[in-house]
Amino acid sequence: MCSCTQQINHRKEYGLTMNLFVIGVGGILLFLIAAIVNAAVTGSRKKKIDQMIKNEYEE
Amino acid sequence: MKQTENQSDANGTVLMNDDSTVPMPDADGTVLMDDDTAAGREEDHATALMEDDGGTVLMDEDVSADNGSGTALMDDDTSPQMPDDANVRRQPQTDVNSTGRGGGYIPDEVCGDDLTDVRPLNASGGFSNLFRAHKTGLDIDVVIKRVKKQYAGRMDEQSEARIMTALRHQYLPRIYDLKIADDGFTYTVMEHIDGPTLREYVKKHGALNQKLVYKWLKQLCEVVAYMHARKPAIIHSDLKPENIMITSGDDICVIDFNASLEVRDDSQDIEAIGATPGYAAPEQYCLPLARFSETNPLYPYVKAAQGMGSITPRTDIYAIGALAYYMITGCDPKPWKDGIVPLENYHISIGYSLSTIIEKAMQPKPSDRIKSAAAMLASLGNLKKSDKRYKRMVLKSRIASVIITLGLAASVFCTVEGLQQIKEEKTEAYLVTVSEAAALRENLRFEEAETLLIEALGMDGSRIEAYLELGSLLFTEGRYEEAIDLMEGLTFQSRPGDNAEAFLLEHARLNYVTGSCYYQLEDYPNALVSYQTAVTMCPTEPDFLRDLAICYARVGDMEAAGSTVASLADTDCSPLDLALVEGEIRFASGEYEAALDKLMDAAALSGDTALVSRSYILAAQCCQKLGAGWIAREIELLEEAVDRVGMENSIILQMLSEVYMRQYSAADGGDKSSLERALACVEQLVGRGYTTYTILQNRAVLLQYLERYDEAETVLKQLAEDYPNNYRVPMRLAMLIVDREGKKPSASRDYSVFGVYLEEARRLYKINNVQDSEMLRLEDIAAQLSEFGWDY
Repeated sequence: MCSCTQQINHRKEYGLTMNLFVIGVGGILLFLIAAIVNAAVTGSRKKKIDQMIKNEYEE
Repeated sequence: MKQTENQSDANGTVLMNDDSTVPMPDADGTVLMDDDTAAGREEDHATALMEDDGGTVLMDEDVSADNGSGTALMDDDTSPQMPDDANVRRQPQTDVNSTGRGGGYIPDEVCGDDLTDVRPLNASGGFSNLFRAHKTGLDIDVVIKRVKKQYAGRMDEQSEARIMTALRHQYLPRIYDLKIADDGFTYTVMEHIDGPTLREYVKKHGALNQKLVYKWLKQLCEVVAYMHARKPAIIHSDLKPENIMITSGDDICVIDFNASLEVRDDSQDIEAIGATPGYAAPEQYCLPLARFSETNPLYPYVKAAQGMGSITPRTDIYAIGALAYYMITGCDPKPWKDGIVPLENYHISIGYSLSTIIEKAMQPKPSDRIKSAAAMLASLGNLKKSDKRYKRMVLKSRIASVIITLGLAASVFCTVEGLQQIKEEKTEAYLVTVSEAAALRENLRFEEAETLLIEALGMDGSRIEAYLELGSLLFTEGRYEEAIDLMEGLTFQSRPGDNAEAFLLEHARLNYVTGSCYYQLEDYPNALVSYQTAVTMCPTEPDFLRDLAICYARVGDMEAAGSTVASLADTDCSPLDLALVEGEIRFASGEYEAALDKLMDAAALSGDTALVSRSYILAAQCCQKLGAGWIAREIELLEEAVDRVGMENSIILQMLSEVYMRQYSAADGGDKSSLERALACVEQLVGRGYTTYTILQNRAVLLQYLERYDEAETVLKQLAEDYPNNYRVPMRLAMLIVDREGKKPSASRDYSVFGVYLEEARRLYKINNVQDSEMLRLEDIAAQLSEFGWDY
């Protein structure tokens, strides 16, 4: 196999690996954002339910 | 009707005694419990147990006496039918002075100067008669409580006062005084609560709204938790709507501690004093069945309660649940045995959380109930935990968290895996590049190999392979100094996953190649150090031992050389190695002829091109050392070497070209064929890419000797461009001009260019600051030209 063909093959392999790496980094960012959003939404809902329960039971 | 009936007091509590006929609820519904009670009031009791509004049963033997407030005691002797409050009012105690401060109800010794305006209360405290009075010292109304006569002696009359005296809580009445009068009664003076009972309140307002229930339930839990936390713990055991007062501040106040119990940690099998159907926990009925006749209405309850355990703080939890049930529905809960109507059967507005807590509190089995009033209070304070919406929200959040966590874990895995693969692919690409370079070196495509190796070093400068290969390449090209500069002092760390043995071998090879470079430069001490390092790393490698032995010989340490040869002989080395070493040692010892024989033996034994080349090269060097008479033999050996290894070995070709030149110089009159052969060798080297300064200079000199001046000049001019600071190039050019012009007729000679080259050579020679005989010869030539009047 000539040098050029090998280099092309390497580039292809790098491409696949880079995709996996990029997917991983992207996933981390995505799920971190999701975690923040989830925490915010949960906190907001919790407050809302707290208030509702307070209204229902306390004068 | 037999007088030994279970009698219900005014609150409906029944005292539980054996031999009693029927547990009769008093006005409050409490029943005193007796067994062996005579029949006769079964129907009334059944009503009291199941339908009255909270009759407590006092649990005694022989009798269940209705005490006028729905509470019944169960004693072991008969109890007379006691007057209710109306009776109290109509029939004051005979031992009380009706004209005194006690108004005929309370002895004067009890009232003293402080209590005035004594009058009976409409309400009755279960097993007690209640009187209202004015406490002049504090200018407040108080309640004076006295155990009803029919219960006197059947219960601890001072118990309530003793218990209440020890309690201080905002939801409990205050005790002002406790007196034992000469009449034998105990009088308790306590705070007067100006408000309705919970039952009265509910009757008036109907079922309570959730907010009020929640508020009072919390207060109830708070006060009960306080009582349970005492040492010893105080169990009310008769919590019911009649015993909960609503104060003017809309708070509760728990009263009537007649049935209260002090429970110590070591207390066992505590029996209830009384029980109010619907509010009493099943374990309050858990009494020896033998005490009750089968005709006693309590019998089925006592029987059903067998195995329920004894009184514990959880007994009050059941009552709290029942009170909440009553408040929210407006209906008394049925006794547990008869099946409690579920809260969802009522058309009421109640939250899931609160209803769950109430249902949990009213579990028949104590172990199934909320474990304590404090825990119940905590549950009420944190209703959201059992709220469906909250639970749904938490579930959603947890699902999201799990998904996010899994996603994050997968992403981290992808990232790590991706990085790992990038690293592996990079390493693989690096190794492929190095192996490609090695293949190119094998094919003598040194320039391409070098380019690839430099590229490999750029990929990963921390690995050894490219350095080793580049060092070997430079060694092959004869660029020993560059190879040493590259490899000297390099150290590498083994990587995880590397084969330790292979890594060590490569490290040793690096030192070996470095040593070989020093060796070629005849710097034997440094070569020795490098070889020693290589042997230390791989003591059984024959190549390393062989060259170390040779190097020892070169530095004159024959003893070390000998011991190294012995070590070499212990390895799986070939006879060739040994012959080669011996040849080298002889050569180092100056025994050139003997060395020549050994080296020829080695050359004959070997099929390895490199070793054959090495043997022949050293053999040729032996001939060289032996003098001019051995030139023919030297040429013979080198030509033989070329026959065996081909034209691939640059050193052999170079040596061959040099020996042809020496042959030309040695022969009288000169043999141009030697020069032709020498030039052929040089051309071969140049054609193969060996374009070192020496080779090109030799080429130019040979062309000059062969009078191919223009070609020689071209080669030297090219060298002048490639090596602008080397004085030898203009020196050679100057000599070339002299030689060429000398061949011309005197008239056409032109030495003007000679002068230019001479000046350039002088300038660079001065800068280089070395001594060169050829330069001195050039100066002589210049002097002669001047002498003969040639201008330059």
